[in-house]
Amino acid sequence: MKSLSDKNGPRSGKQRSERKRQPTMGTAMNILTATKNFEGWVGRHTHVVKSQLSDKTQTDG
Amino acid sequence: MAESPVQFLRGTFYRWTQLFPEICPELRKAPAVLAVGDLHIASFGTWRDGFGRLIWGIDDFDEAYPLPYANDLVRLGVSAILDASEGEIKVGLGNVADVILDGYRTCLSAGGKPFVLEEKHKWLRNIALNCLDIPADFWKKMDALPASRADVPADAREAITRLLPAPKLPYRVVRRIAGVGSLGHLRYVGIADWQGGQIALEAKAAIPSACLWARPAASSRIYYQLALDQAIRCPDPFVRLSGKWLVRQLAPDSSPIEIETMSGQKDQDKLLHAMAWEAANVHLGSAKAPARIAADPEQPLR
Repeated sequence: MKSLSDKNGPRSGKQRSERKRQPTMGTAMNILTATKNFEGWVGRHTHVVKSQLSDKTQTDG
Repeated sequence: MAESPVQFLRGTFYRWTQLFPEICPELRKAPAVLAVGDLHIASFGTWRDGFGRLIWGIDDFDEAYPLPYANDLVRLGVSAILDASEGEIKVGLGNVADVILDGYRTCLSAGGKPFVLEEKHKWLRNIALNCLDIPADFWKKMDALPASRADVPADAREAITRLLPAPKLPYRVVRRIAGVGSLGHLRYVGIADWQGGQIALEAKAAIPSACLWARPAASSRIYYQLALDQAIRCPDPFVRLSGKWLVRQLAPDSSPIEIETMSGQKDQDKLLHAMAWEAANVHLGSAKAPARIAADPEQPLR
């Protein structure tokens, strides 16, 4: 059973650092991976724009 | 981007929007508004409205997205602090948050008002007039742009043609590279001779905000036009989202105003205050924004 101080009191230094280190989506990905991933995403969206345009051009033609 | 921390910040909104909720967890719960997203000290410039008046304000909504209102304020503040830490500007570092919050809060209370640089805001008008391109130099640069070698997509041509002053006006298409964060965005510029002078319209491929990359389940809508339409604003009649193309006029009077061009801390603080006011002009476009922001228990605007 947790004591009141466990629930509401100040966390110990260890608890705080463990909480900080918890990996999350952003921090789990380093900047280089994020940049590469994002560039790929932009490329796919630009490709969508391009292919939509070529479809339209074919339809119009 | 390697030039300076501010340039890096400007070019990496995708990383910002990925990390902001983690680094500022208390602010992620702040009321959402249709925010600028990628707001920073270089997001501001001038244009002429439909009545020919010189207007100053935010001129880039590429990353507009529903976000906590605090996103824009924090990002604006961070960009000012980074620029000041590089010695580029003299805004008081301890003062940045106070100046931004005061500008934002005052605008929300006043119900917003755009910056029309005519009989009011003479201080900003004087700065703006010094920053405008000299028309002869501007057109010399435009004339030097390389012709587009690839076929111009039919939709891009249509988008440009819609904004031309005459429907069958002939124009040539050139390629232009611009922006820090616009990775891989296609740009085509149509230049025409019309009534004794040149005009230029740029079509840039519009893609959803990087917020969609960071949160794939989010909306894939492009919010550029909605942000323009909803904001308290004197719009540039030559900026329009047309299908997947963002079309805008390129002109000597549509120029960025860089805070670095102002010499003293007092003037730079005044401009930073105006920038925060202008951010509120955009946020006021969201329904009941002032009431929702005022009711935010975490908000620092009280």
